[in-house]
Amino acid sequence: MSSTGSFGCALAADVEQVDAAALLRVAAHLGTAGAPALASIDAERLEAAFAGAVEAFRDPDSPERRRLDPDLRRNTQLSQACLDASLDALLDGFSRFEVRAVLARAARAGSATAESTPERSAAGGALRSRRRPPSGPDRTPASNGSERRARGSGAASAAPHLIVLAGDLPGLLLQPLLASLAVRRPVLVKSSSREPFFAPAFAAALAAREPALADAIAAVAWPGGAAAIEDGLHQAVDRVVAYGSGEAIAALRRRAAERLVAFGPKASVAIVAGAAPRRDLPRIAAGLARDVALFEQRGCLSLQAIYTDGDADALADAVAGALDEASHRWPPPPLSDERAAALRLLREEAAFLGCRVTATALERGTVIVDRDSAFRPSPGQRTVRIHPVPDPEAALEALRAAAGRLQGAALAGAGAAALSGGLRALGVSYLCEPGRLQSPGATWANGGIDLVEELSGSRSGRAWSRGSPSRRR
Amino acid sequence: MVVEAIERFVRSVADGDFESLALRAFAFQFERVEPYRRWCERSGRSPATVVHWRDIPWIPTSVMKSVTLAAAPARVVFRSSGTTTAGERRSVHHHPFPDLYRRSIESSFPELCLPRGGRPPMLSIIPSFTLEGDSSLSFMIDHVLQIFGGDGSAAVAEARGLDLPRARSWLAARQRDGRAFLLLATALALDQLLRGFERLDLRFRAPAGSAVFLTGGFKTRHSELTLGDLLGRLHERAGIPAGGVVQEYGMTELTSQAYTRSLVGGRADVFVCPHWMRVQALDPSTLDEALPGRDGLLAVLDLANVGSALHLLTEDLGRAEDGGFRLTGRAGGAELRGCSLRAEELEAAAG
Repeated sequence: MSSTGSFGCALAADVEQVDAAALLRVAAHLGTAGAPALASIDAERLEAAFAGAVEAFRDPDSPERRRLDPDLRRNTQLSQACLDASLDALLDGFSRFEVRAVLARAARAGSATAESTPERSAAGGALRSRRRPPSGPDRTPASNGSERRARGSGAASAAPHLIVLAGDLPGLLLQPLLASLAVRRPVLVKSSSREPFFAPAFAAALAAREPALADAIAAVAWPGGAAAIEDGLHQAVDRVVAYGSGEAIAALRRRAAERLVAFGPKASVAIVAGAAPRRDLPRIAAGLARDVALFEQRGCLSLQAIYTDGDADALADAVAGALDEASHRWPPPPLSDERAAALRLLREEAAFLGCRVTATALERGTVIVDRDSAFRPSPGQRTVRIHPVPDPEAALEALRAAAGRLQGAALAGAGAAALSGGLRALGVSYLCEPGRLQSPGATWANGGIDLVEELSGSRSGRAWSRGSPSRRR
Repeated sequence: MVVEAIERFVRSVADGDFESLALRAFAFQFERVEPYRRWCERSGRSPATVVHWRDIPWIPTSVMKSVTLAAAPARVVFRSSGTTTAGERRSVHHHPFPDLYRRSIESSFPELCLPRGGRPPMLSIIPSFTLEGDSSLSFMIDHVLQIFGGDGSAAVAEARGLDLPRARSWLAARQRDGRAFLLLATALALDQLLRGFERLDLRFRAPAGSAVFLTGGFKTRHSELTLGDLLGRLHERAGIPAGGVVQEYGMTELTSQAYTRSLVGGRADVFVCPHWMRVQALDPSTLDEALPGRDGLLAVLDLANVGSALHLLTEDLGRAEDGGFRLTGRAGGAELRGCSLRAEELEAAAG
């Protein structure tokens, strides 16, 4: 197994070949060959490789993207323009500067937890205590913390992290992958069977820029939940970072227990405070439409509902106009009869209930002015509800029922920024201006979880006891 | 009064005219169903402006999950089963005129479900109304058994599930006495019965002329049955061919039912309506009538629904064919998703 990147590609194309023994061999290889390989890469090289791969994936004309895009388009059904814009928005947050910040963060976290931390061996899965080199006075991230920790382990093995992806959106991998590599752990990626392409392609792009990474990352797709495959594998990995439905997460929690860092499905909202000047409305609406349209509203940072204490009808008209414009710039996927019927029923039900519904073509998006302020997740297909509220604080009250299920909030208008604390108390972990929801950046604490800190601790070490919100849920 | 006029029409097509009764029923609902009147007024429609049944404003069936639509105090309340998705909202049908429901059953069921006439023995594997007191299907099946069930008819769905030994004994008795029977089943209950027979490796030879009344969806939370598979297994285990299966199209939100004409030699996939019910397929993009050969959302005008929602826009997709309609799908379809929250997940979390 000389190239784990190609291994991932091969298996992604034929998931039938995946069995427990093969995955355990991959995990063992990652641990014994990947960990020392990672330890041999200094921070500058890792930064250059990661940022370089990101740049290539941002460029629709790069060889990597030209190879990848047909598969992505087929599986996600995103139009090429929407795929380009969506990936560009997401990858914008993984600039060289951001990658460097994550690596530096890992270095600091590593030095904080470097003392006598028990560690899971790749080979046997048993815990063993290992004296780490003491923290030195080094000032540069490149020679501090996690890197030294990794180098300190010399050629020693280290059990890999398992990253479990879900859904059909490309790019979900980047944040956990960077965090794991930053703390110098090899990574086994379980791609979603609905999007098995991005992870092996990105792994290959990293390996092309930094050959030592070829032994540190493997991307495989297999049907999730298969006990025969996963029971043993979960015992052979150090941590499991997982995305998925509540049901899938619950199943993983039974297997991985306290080693699991989980990210369940969430929704994002916007609050437009009434003080937003009318001349700003087109700009705000354009940003909101972008937050709806990118990734076709399938992500946890996709905008699903807007609250405003201003003129909801005017905002609705502006957003509908912006969605119409967005449908030209980033064409939506074709509507099946079933989806068209569902949208029609949604519009008719809303109209029956007294909501104002914009009358654009179904595929261009639906804007509903709903005076019932209760948050209701969007059915997708660029559908967004605008809820008039008497004041911005009323939006927080309306969102209370969705506390813990909210991810991001786009804020506009003078009074909106004052809601930050209230939104964070509801579990919102990313605040931005309209149009930026899909660009949270590599350093974003998804769900309030500092992934680098989470992953740099050992599961039974002191750092481990610093509970994250998600683990308590 | 319009309700009595509709009841007479349901009993005999000669006793009324669909169009005029539909317009009278619309006026009745406009006057008595407040949420409906508000909707009509907002969209500029009223009994004064609507002159054709096709233009009577429809109500999406999903509205019945959140709004009470009743033209008079409800005498019975039906709820949809909501079996496919955790946290799913259920439709509620506040029914003020259960006698009209009974008349509609009596007037439509025999023609296509009992074409040989008489009162054959019936075996129901659908829970009775005593067990499921909010099921419109159970209400109907109880009435069918009471009015049309011959000697020896039995219901073998118990609170704890299907009574397989009783079903087995009942079918064996019919095999011995040679009396053609009618099995009343939902697709899921029939699957359960057949799985029981398969487990015990039982096979029956149903007397000639025996038939199955089949209704309900084919989807569970964990799997989806196919009609073809079910019919093949039915033939193998009970000796009833596909041509002996009449399918019903009905729903909690409606009072009347449509049936396939399979037992009278018609197509097994085309549903026909009784004379007091009309179905249109509407283009989802425009809500105009779908072009011939094209799928559309089914809108159903059921005069027997005069007490609740006369004209319903359903979640079913279908197309007009052979004087009836053929089901082709359902609104929703395979939804692509990433990590975004779905309504059902939020509702399930809220309990």
